[in-house]
Amino acid sequence: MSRDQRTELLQGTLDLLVLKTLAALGALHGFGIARRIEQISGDTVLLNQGTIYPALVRLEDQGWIASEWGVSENNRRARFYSITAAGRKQLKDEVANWERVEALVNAVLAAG
Amino acid sequence: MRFLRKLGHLLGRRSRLQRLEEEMRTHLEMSIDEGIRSGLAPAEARRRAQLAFGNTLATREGVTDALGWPVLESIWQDLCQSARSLYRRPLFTLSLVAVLALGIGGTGSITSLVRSVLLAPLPVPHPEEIHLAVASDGEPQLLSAPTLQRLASAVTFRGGIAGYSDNCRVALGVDEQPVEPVVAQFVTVDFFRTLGVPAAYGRTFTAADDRLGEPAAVGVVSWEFWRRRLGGDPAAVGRTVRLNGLPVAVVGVAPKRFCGVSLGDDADFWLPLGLHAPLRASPSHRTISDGPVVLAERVRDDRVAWLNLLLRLPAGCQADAAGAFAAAWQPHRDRVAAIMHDPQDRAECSKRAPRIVPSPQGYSNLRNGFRRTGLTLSLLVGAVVLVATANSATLLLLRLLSRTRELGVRLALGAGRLRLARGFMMEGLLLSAAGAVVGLLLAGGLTPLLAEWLVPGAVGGVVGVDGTLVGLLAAMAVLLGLVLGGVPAWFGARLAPQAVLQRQLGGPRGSLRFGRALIVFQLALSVVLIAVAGALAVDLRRTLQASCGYARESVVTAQFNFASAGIEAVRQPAVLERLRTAARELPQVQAVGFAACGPLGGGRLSSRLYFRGDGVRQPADATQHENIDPEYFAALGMTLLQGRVFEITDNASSPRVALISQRLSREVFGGADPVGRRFGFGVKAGAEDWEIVGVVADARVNSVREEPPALIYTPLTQWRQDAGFLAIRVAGDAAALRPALEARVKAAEPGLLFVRWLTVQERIERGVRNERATVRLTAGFGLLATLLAGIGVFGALGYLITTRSHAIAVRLAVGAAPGMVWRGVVCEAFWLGLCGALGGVMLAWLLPLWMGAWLMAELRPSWLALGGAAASGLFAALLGGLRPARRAAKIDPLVLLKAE
Repeated sequence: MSRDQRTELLQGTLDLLVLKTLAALGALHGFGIARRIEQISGDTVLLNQGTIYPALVRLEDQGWIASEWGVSENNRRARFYSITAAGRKQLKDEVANWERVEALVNAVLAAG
Repeated sequence: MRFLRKLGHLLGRRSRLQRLEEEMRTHLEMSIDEGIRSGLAPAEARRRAQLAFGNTLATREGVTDALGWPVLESIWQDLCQSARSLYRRPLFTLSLVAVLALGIGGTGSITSLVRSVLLAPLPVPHPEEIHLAVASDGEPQLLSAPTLQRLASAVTFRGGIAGYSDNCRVALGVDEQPVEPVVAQFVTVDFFRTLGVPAAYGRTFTAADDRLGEPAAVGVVSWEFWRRRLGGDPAAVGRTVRLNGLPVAVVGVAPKRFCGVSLGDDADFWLPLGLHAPLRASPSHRTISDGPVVLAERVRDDRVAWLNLLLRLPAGCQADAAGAFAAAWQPHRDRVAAIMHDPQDRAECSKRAPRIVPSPQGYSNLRNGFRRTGLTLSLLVGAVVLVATANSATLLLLRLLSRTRELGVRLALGAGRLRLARGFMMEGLLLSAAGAVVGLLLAGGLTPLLAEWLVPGAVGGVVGVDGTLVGLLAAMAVLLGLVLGGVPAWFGARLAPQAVLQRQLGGPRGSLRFGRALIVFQLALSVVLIAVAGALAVDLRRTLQASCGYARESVVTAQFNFASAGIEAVRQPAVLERLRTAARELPQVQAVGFAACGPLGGGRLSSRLYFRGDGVRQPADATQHENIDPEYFAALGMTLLQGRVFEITDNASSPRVALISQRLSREVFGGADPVGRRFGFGVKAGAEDWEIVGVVADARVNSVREEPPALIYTPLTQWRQDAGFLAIRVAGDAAALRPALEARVKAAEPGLLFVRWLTVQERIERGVRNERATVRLTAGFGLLATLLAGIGVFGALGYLITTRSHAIAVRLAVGAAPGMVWRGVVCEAFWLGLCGALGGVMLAWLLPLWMGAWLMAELRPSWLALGGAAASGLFAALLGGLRPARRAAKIDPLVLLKAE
């Protein structure tokens, strides 16, 4: 696959994707989240997996996700993240916001 | 909330960072596992995993940034680095912190002293509304009780009006214990209400406590008295104690911070005005009489002025109050003027018009005495802070110079100049913060000691470490820190890495010259301090050596009060005789004399005198008056210049006789012989007149500092003022004999209360206590500053030797004698010292011009002190230069040149 087909993530949307992933799948470790996002996008998203970690720190600082140690399917010690009640509320807000933005952008593009 | 969470995360960020690093490692491993499972070779799987993860370093940085505040973090790093670098040189750091603590702590102490003595408002609500009545000279104006009553009935403004007497001593008896002196103040029942001071326990006064003619025997005690004498027990309210023998019920306790209206003159008891008569207490008063004056009538008598006026005036009422006050004062003035015979006095009297002035701080005569001391000390502290700053800056600069190589390397490796400068700033701030903390502790401990030393009596009112002081010192510490960090930062930022690395160790341009200037400045300041201390000491010595007109050694004195013991005039001669006999039982006792006031007793009488005959110049004002017994002069060792002293035969029925002081004789009679001349207390000559029988040498009876006053002496048998001062002349050491004397004399008259058993020498010492303390403090700080300057010289020259060791080695190698090298360095120290000494002498010379009259006006410049100070500055510089010089002379050229 050539590089051109991959989409670069919009600024700030990574947080939304992480929240959504955790809301949909429950507790996940960092690698799991990254892979999940890549899989859903059909490997078309241009994601440096590492960038997920600063995002996790930010979200945890906001109190939107919580984390605890657990054991992965391959018996590795890993940190599992899960969405909190505040995170769900935030997700709802952000989804609504996203839809507004999307509608707006689509409307402008359609008019053009 | 979010801030708190962030702060919490910040505190635990190290463990969190470790955790995230572990997560990222696991992430990679999982990624590799996945690759291998999908059939890739392990090396390829690792490559792909790494590719998918992205730049590890950038990720790590992203995480670090997300974890904390980047700016805060780098500041924290600077702080840690500065702390580490200071910690590595404990001696250097400790000495700097000590120097700064001294400057900051000294500032704190003096500030809180000046604030509490000169600036602190009364601890009452709205102190800005408090007004007092003062005479034209600014001293409180005593008023008659009727004046206050007229004012109270005329005035209808909000706020209030009250009156209070000066303090006086009464004898306190609690249960069956022996009596002891306490300080009482008589106040109108509105006193506490006007001030807005409620009782801490019990109550204050009500109108029922002082119905005219029948005052209630009740009193309010001070917090301090209640704690000390009544055991701090709230149940003490309602207890009865005896004051001058009269049972008085304690009905209330004043709040803790309230010590009355004047600082340093704290009352133990507040009593209703009318109670002074049953107690036979007579606080300061000014009486102009045309007939008998009775103590019991004082609350009604318009001729006796004995009350201070206390007004609470809300904003805007001042003009009304001033008018009402003038109207209330008028009848008293007319009444008194009508009594005066002397037309000149009458004219004076009608001109007199006391004013009402805002007095949020109350009144204290301590302030007048403290003003000079306080200002001297402020100057002193200013100098100490400057010296401390200059010294610390010198040391920090030298340290920078000794680190040029390290810094050059850091710069060459790409460290930012700004970051470097920030490090220096941080170091300065750390040092000054540590200095401020130690200084604050120092100030807390030092202030009460200094207060006791410099303003005895004011200790109770001194505010300790409070918010304002902490704020002030913190601001000062920040400023100091910026200055201290600024000096090395300024020069550090100009370091050229290439030059440093090429071993040109001269330091940045101008830094050495600046260091030298700092050292000269310190030397000059220390010379000034020593010169001022010297001048103060010379002045004090001159005062103490000047003849005071009475014996300093071998005299024991004490004060007592007949009235408070209820001993009437007829019984007094017998009591005095008993006291004399009791004292004389000790073989060392040579003479026992009595007087009304005595020297350095704190009190004084004065009377208006009219001298008879031609060619006399009448005194312009009342003349100080002393009432004595025949042995008084012998007991105090005073000199009779002419005529005779009093005899036993000068009694109530014999012609009235008096002695005058030399100064009075000179002022009134010029060169003429005063013996045989006559004077009276009224304008017209009459049979009641007194004859002058002798002249006594002048004596500094009020204070050793002031010029001896013009004085008249009358015999106790012929003038109605009670004796209140006892002087006993002994052979040998007065202080050693005092306990035995005290025991005997007290036993002779158990009902009589004696206070202040002191030798004359001790009375003199007490009078100059704060001046002596000032001299010692100034000298102490001066020596310290000199020491610091010496250390500065030592450090600077030591640094110079290090940088020039190469040149010195070359000179030695080509044949220069070590002695020459030694001389060169010592010469450098000498120049520094000379510049400092000259600068200091010049400053000390100019200081009085700048500072105006208040500080040095009474100080004559002392060549001795100035010379001594200059010599000490020079000496310190030379001493500081000796060791570096020896080191320079001992440089072994072979070792140094081989090392190249």
